[in-house]
Amino acid sequence: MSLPILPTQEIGSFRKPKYLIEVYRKWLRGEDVESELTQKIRKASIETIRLMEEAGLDIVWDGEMHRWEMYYHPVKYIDGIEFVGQVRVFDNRYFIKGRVVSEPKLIKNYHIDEYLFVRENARKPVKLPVTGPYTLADWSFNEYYMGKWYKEERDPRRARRKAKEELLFALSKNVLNPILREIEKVGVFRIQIDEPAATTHPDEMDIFVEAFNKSVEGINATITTHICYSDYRILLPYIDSIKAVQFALEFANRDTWERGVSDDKRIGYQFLRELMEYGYNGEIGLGVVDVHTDAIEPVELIMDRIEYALKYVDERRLFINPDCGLRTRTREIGEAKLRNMVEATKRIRRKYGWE
Amino acid sequence: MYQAYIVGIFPRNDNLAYKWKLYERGELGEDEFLETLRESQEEVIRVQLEAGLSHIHDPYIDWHDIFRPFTDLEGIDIGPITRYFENNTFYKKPVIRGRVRYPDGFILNYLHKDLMPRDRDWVASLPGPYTFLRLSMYKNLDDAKASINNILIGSALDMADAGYKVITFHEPCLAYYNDIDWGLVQELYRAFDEYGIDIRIHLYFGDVKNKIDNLTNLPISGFSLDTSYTDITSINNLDKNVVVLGVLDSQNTLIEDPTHLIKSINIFKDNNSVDTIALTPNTDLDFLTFDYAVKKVRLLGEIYRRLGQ
Repeated sequence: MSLPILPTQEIGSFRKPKYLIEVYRKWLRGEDVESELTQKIRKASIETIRLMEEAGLDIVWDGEMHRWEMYYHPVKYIDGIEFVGQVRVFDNRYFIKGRVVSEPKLIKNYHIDEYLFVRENARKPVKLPVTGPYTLADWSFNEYYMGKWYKEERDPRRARRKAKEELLFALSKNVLNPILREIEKVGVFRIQIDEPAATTHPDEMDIFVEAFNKSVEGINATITTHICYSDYRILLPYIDSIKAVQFALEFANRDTWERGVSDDKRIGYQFLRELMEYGYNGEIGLGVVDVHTDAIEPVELIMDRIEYALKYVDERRLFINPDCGLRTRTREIGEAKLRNMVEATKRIRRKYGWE
Repeated sequence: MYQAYIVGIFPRNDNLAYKWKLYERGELGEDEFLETLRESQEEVIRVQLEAGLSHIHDPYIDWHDIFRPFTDLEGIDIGPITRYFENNTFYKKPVIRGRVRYPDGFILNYLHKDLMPRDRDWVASLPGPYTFLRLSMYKNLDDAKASINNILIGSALDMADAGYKVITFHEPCLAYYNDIDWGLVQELYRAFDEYGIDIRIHLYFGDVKNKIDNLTNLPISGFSLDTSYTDITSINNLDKNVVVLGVLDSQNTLIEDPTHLIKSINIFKDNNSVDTIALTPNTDLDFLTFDYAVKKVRLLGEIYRRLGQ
């Protein structure tokens, strides 16, 4: 499938419509609403695909309507991880966290049905976001493997690392790789491995890379990754060994809202210079709108951000996206941000004759 | 002598978190919200009392993060959402503008002295000055240092006046980072000298074994060791009034074996000269669910009891 210069894409999640959230809440409380939930998910999925298409995105997804949340959804289908309740992420925002109680094993491929549904209903190329093994491991309480190691290993850091490594490799081998192999068989345009936790533990980068690569072993589809809200410099020594053609990163949240393409105005994008000096020659997914504010970035500001990035990244390797999933914002605000992002990209294409 | 207490922010129970959401959305009245908050605060105190801890920590369930109350001060804004060390937990960066003054009694608005029990000593937490400085945004270092010292000295004095016996300064940056300017740390803590504040610093997210010389030189009464990072059985010849041992992992639901922990604590006690060993979780319990935080508090009480026998 051919894409324009500076393809626009969503990262993954998008706010669910109220009617869907209400059914999900009943489902989470254990009420028997399975068939109503399926029906509402399909309705919301199609509506969101259309919203993304009408906003003008070149690569679409359905905003993860089939998933309550990026951690909860996979864990529900993994034997060996049990939910224990909600844990705070920030302010009064929580996620439902699991504890590892035995070796993780896949109960059922939790992406194949949603992927086929979205592909069938989308009119544009589809990118499948998949929560990566490192994030699944990092966001779980690692009781099972830590219980094995903490008495045996006197150095607590070594015990934690061994426990993490065993959990990670089990997730890659038993869960992620079988899922991706099955999806590849039905044909897939792009798979985005979401690893927001990837660069959060600098001492574990080697096992993150190993687990990532084990997860995509034998997969010939185009693999990209999304990482956010962390120090990306930690990635540099490993960036060539990670089997992903694209790094879609959050930048806008750390940037100013002042106009201009100088370094002092575009402080959020300084990593691009380091990345290119390092010699990275893969794709970059450029986060140009902040998903943590209701304020809508003006088209001109987004254009400045793209133009700044173009100083360091060849236009054929630059993709344009929000910082992260837009589920944190209302659908109206999310859509407005996407529309401005698309408009800014179109103006840049026109300006440089890339249409 | 042993002490046992918790530190920092305690997780909200599910009911409070839910009501908080409704309140934020305008779907719940203020009276009902405040009633739920108060009941939840009382519950956090009750959990500590029932566990038999020596000191009771102020509930701290209405703090969004350790810096947030101070963003209500004139001259400190709420900055970008930022990952808190290596966790899937985020805080909002304090943005310090100019030289910030501390209005008398300010911190007491965020404490709940009226709920605290009369028959136990009280504990309260504050961000340590080095961590506050390192995790904030500012344009002028001197102004930021002066602001943080104004705020923390004022807060600590108010806390002490209000009856909080132990004030624990959270200094994860001192444990986590290796590029620490110890001269700066000395300067920040020396500012507390003339006020006679009894300072214990709480260190986590890193092994401080190689920083012990620097830590013992600080004008503080005690510091902590995080047993999730430091093998306390390998620490010898430490001569200190107070050492705090963060013996329970606040980031894992794994319930530690008390016998195994007591063995390690006894080895530490035999190998060092410490007047008071305070037993705590390694960090705020806010990284756990409410139910698991309660389990850890009970375990802390059990260890304290068994060591006292």
